[in-house]
Amino acid sequence: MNRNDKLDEMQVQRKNKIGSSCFMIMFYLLFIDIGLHEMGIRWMAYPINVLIIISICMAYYLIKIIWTGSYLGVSIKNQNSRHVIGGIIASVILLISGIIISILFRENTNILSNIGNTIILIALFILTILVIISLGNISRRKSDSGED
Amino acid sequence: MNKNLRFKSARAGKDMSQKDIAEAVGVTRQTINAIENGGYNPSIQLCRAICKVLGKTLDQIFGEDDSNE
Repeated sequence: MNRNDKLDEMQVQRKNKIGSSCFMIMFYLLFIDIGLHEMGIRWMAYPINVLIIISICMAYYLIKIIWTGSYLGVSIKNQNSRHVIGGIIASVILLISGIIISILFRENTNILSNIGNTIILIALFILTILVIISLGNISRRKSDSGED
Repeated sequence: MNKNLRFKSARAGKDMSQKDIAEAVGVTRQTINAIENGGYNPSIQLCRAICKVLGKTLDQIFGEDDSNE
């Protein structure tokens, strides 16, 4: 889905500005990393170092566009916050129960351990979706901020 | 940048909130707020859309004068 279609002109401008600054930060961090590597300083083994730098930049980009209200466009309405919070709590409970099942029955019964792993995967999948919806809600609230 | 008081007064004259204007022209409320407070320079298309909703000319809302440069 191309979210840019629904962003207004100020949101697109801000998103582009944040994107370019994020790209420059990533470039300089990778450049410094290469320099450190040449000097014999290895703070993390390859390719984890590159992955960490990219993840930091992506996290910065995501936080910044949510903070400036440029993550979701004009036409997308908020989901009900109560449903989202309830869903997150239910998924966390599901995740914990999945972990408990897989740990308790790891050595005794293989089938139950597999069920536990499946529950963990499903809970993580639901949690990811709910977190994305929550981020959208936060961005939407930011877009609606202002005074009359 | 200075605040666009003429935009604010024209909006108040029409008894419209920032949200009403934002929905009418298809932008977020944050954008309308930024235009009013001088934090964002809108495109000519958006200016024209705002003027159309408020029933004013471009010059009346976004024209240059001492308080709106």
